Amino acid sequence: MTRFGKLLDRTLQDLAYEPIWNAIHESKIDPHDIDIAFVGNAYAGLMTGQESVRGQVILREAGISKIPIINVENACASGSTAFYLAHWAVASGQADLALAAGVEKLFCDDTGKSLKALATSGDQEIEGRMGILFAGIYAMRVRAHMEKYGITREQLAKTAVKNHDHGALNPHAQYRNRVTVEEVLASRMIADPITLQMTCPLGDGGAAVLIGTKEMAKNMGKRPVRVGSTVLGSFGFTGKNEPSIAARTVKQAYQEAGVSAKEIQVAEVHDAVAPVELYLYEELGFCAPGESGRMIDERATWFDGRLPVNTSGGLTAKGHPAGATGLAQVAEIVWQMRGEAGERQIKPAPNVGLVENGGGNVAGETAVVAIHILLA
Amino acid sequence: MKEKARIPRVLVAKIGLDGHNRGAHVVAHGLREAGMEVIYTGIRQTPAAVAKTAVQESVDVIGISSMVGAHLSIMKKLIRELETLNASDIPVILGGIIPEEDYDQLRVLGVAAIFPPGAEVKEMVQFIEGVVKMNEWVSEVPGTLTGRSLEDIHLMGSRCDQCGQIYFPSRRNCPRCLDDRSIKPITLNDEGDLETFVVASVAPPGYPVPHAQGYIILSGEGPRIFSLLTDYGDPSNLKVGCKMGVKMVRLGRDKENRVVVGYRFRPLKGGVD
Repeated sequence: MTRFGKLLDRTLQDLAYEPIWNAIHESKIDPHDIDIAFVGNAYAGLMTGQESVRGQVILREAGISKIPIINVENACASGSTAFYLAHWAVASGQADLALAAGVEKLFCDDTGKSLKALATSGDQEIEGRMGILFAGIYAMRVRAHMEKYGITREQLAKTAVKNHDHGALNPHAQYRNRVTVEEVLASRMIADPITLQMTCPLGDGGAAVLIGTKEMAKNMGKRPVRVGSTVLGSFGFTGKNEPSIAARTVKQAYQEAGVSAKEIQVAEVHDAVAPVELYLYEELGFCAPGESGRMIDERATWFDGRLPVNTSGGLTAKGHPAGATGLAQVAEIVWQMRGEAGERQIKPAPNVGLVENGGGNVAGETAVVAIHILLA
Repeated sequence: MKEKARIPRVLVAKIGLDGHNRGAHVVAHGLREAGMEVIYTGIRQTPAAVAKTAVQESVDVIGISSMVGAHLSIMKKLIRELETLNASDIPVILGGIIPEEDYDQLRVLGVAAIFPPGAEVKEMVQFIEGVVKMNEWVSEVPGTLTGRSLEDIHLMGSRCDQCGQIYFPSRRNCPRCLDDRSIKPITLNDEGDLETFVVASVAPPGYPVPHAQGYIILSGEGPRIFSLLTDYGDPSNLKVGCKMGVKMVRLGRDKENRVVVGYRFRPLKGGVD
């Protein structure tokens, strides 16, 4: 992956070139062996006007051409959806080696334009007319969770503190500064109880992953990581007492990978605002319902804790260039498993990791949730 | 959502000691022939009774026939009665022997149109159709509202008779049963509980700050409704679990000159008007 950040002087092609060629060099594969490419991007149509054939345009500079190039748009889960499809192509036997790449440029001269583009990830007919705001949607979920289990504002703030601590140790992160609970709570109120320092920034960046057969992996230059399962769930008119989309999707992912929540040793989750981590700990089965506040108080999810979450800094600190996010989450787990995570390395290196990547909002629920379980 | 063209409802009445009902009969018959629904009260009605009937029957227009020169006093009384019933929006039209020198005074009273001897029924039909058109409305969000008239709009959803699930907005099939035969439109409850909410300090362009939104679980069987929140005064009046009521707001007119109606929710206690 590229470093995430405000990269006004870099083009989408340039942001794709770097991670794709890093992956090619590191794995020592012959790029001619790539059978198919899936390119995740959510907002280039609105940001740059490149609505159609984005993938072909994005891969032009990297030299990936002639093979099938599939354009993938699933809001903030576009990158994960590209990963899901690349895995599908290989697992089905249709391809021996597939490329999943994701890029996004959200910075421009006009922040209003970026925010409007992001707001299109909801149902324009219903929520769109009422001024949908993602910070607001997350704030509502966080508030409901606080009310239900007595989660405190300090506990919310700690998730941001943790992710900034991790971002400070990650050279790819957009934010390298540490923050304190007091600073987080004193920062500008965006959508009560969400303050500015709890939210992820706009971001530019790219990430890429190569998925190949076992035979392909044998000759790789790096220790391969196995895809235990990759599952894509969609919104579902959830009634009052039905499980959330994340809970539903992760259940299937655990089943398909043959692992339980207790076995997870590292996770990257979709902390578009940091405090959502708390209810995600519960929905993903990392702790019992209502126990997430205690989990953050005990520092269990810091990189040196019992179950490190978002060692990359998460979306909050590492940044969130939508199309790249899911693949950057995968990259972090792979680096942790290979012992390549530098100052934020989990010791000993984890063997079972989970990625949760969400996107959009439809009918009061996240539109897409992708779960990938990776095994060393 | 495009509402079906509505059949205009007209109340034709005679007030006071005035038995000359031939004109009223001709008008009532003519309007019916034009496809309207006509309610005829007969002679010797009181202004209060006419106003009450108009409200109960949700008519679009009240037509009064007057032949004996009492038009000024009966119109004054009728319009006052309509005011007390909060029904001043129902236009009143007048036909019969009305001297031209009274026209200005009648208009000041609020009489919407006067049809003297010689006026043709088709002029009245045209006028009434225009009124109904003015009251035609359309939902801001398609499939969310239902109602006979602009004054009587409610949230609309769908119920699946097979699994019992209720949906909002209304739907053409049940996504659980994946069946389109057992889904029926229903009028939903006007009240519910606030499940969660946000009072955001930032808002997308064109929306006021603070920008308040919430999810309301309607009383009874639900469903869950995403809505902008209004009339809450101080944000501390909003609490998870507090009782909320729907409020219909008029958001201007569309290209076809129909009133655009949207739904909002407001706290039932502690809010402001």
